[in-house]
Amino acid sequence: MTALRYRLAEANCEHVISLNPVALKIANSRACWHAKLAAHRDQKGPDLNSAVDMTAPYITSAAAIESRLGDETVLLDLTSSTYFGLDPIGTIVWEQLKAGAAPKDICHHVRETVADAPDTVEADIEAFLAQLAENGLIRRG
Amino acid sequence: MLSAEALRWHLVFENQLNTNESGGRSGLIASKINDHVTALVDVIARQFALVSARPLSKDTTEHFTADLLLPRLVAYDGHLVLHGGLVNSPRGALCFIGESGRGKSTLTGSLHRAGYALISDDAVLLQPGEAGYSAKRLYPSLRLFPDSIEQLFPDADATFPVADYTVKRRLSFAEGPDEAMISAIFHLGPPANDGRIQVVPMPPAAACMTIIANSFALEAEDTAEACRRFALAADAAQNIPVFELHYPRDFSVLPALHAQIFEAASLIAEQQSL
Repeated sequence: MTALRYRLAEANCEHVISLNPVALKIANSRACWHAKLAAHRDQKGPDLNSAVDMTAPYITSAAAIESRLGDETVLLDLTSSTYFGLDPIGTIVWEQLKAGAAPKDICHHVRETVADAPDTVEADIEAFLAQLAENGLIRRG
Repeated sequence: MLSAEALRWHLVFENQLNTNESGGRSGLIASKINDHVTALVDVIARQFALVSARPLSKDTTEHFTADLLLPRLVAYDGHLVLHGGLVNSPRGALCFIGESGRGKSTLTGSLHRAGYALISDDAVLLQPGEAGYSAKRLYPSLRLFPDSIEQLFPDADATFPVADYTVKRRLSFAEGPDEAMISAIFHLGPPANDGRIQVVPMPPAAACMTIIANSFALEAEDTAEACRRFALAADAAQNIPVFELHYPRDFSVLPALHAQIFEAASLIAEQQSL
């Protein structure tokens, strides 16, 4: 995933936002205005063996409301009260999913539209889709 | 200063809260204040009660009501209220947010000590307008741990208790304006590994989630309130520059930190004037 990550600024910045969703789960056990930022690096990575069908379209969750912020997106999953931040490429993938594109077509679209798309784009997008599915944000169409 | 009464929220005894025909409570929201105290809020009757396993002192009751519950009630009424400090400057108001213990009060107190008007040290109401976002305090306060008082305000005449459960003390201070146009939000992150001071612009998605994470909600998992807060935070993130601050928690670095904060604020002002 390194190639698709971008940092908030130069080196030594603690927070890394990646193509993967960054979960912001409302913490129930503490005062309720505090939400907990679960940094991606502290999360268990997606199971890459979980079957992501790269040829079939996926349906985005109706319980996920979104806000587009420039070329990024924040999702709020109302079933889990969890927020997810999508970086620009994650946003492209999300938009393509909503349009009904199959993952392999999304990979092609990213290669065509992102100037410095890495060689690992297929694997990265597959891992991203696995995480979206794992969090209930997409399901097989 | 906004009080619960002025906002038409009323503190009552627990047994005065709404009950249904079978004697159970209906329409109440339980909002946990801390491990020992819960606020029961009747949002229809606009009444609330503090429920505690042990008696609360007058200071503590006032603290829970004004500092911890009132911001949630204001948020429930449809406003974006940040858990943070606010100082005014020639570059506009600067807001400092972050988890408890990250140093918001110390940083805002140090800026106040350096000559900048303190608007709030804990709760900031953000309101969009035609000319930008204004930031308003809910109540004037400056509360610091004893070590911060000793370092920043060694000549303080008197300090007062905040609540039974904390050693923080309340200080008198020259109140600045009630509100000002806000120019930037700074999120107090953890110190950088190399000990350097860093002021890093946050991308909008991260800024939005940071604002949500540091804002008040009466019932964070309530769908309607969550959607409302999400929309407010997204708009704020698009219209207010948000930075991540990394710095050693050492009083000696505060002057250099102030300089970098104002350098960032100056850059914003330059960009907005273009």
